[in-house]
Amino acid sequence: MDADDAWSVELRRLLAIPDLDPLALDEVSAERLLAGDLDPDQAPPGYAEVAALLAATVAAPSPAELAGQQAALAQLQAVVRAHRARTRGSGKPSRRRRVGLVVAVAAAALSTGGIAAAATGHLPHPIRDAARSIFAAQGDTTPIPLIKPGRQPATGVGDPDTTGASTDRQGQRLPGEPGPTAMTNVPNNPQCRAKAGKGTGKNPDAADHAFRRSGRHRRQPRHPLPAIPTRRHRDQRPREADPAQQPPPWAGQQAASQHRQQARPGTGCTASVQQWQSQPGRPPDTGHTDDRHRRVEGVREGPGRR
Amino acid sequence: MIGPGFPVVLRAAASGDEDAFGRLWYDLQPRLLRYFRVVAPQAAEDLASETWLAVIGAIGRFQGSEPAFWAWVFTMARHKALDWRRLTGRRPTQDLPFTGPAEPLAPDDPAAAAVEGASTRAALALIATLPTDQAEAIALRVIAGLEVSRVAKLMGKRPGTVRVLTHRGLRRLAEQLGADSSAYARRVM
Repeated sequence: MDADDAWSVELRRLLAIPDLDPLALDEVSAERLLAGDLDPDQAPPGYAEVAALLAATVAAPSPAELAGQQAALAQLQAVVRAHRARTRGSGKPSRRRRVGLVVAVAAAALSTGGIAAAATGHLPHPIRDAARSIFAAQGDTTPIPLIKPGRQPATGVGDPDTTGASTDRQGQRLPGEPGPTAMTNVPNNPQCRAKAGKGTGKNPDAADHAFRRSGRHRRQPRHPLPAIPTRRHRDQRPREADPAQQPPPWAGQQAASQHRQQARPGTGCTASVQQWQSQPGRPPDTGHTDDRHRRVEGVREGPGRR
Repeated sequence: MIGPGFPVVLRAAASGDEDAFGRLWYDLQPRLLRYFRVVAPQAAEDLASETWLAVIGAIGRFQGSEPAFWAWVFTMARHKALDWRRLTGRRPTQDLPFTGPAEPLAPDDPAAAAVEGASTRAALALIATLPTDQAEAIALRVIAGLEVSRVAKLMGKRPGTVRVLTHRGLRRLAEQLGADSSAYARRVM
């Protein structure tokens, strides 16, 4: 028998002993110890004192451990009072008030959207028809324009009589639509009216010049603005301008200014310039900004200054 | 434990009823104090007060059963203990010797209360000598009376890990008590 055999015999003897670990603790006993269900007498060997110790940790509370109850209750009352004060101070709006607010906001949104759609010509056909019938019932014969986006078919290119109001010749007039003299509603054009109206009565020439320098006349839509007949007052002059009353554009600055004053109520600034451009002998409009500016300046300076 | 009437008591306590809150406080305050005496012995009373402040401020928002409420309270308590440990780690303090009376006298049986309180304190002090995880797992299982799953969730560990921790802690306690049972007897008495 050598050393290895002696070790194996010893190991076999030790394995035959059922409880080799004196502090072995199975899981069930451990759970019962932790739950306090195991008395010290019933505890596994070596754990009787542990059971007594764990029982001492959950013993009845001593008076010292319950000494702070009044302080905790006072703190509770303070917190509850503060919470009630907050709740009373920040009362929520009533349900009726909230409903009214929602209705008001919805009505405002709908009216704003309707006005915007009417201004941009995007009203649906049924609504447009209803509006037309309402206006007709009130005696207003103003047709509600139907402006469709996109380029309109061009006809009569280059013909002064048929060219639309746009000075860049991009917008062309449709057959049957009024000619340049029918641009009596150009003063109703917000862009033209806004620019020219600043100088109305003060310095219309400067207002027209500012309008042309701003380049708005080149950013006109590609399709001509439709003629919108408006209701006139009795004492208002007819919108159609008499070509015989129009002075020659080369008559100098004074003549041009006088011409604008005469033509403004009837023709508008864009139409007067367009008519000047369509006069025979004027250089063709290249569409270039400098070119146009040069020619406008030429009108103001007059042939005498050149 | 309050039992089936817990939801009513909780609702009343949240609305400011002193009796209802007193019942909750009476059930939980001794356990809170003992838990803190295991995990943060130097600041047990202060941390218990801070925990109650947090409970009072949030009791109106709690919804759940009584075991869930206990777990909720001890979750706050554990956070307070962790904050205290971080604070003492940054700014270590030294305790001065206590010269006042150890405990106020009980009205009915001062001797029995003193012996019982002393035994509880000795038991808690012995558990506090265990490694932190083992001591906390045993305290939450025994003192707070929480189930393994709730303790595992509270400590951020798996239930099997909690079982191993408590098993090792019990075994270490048994070893310490077996090696020096007379020392524990002297602490108790």
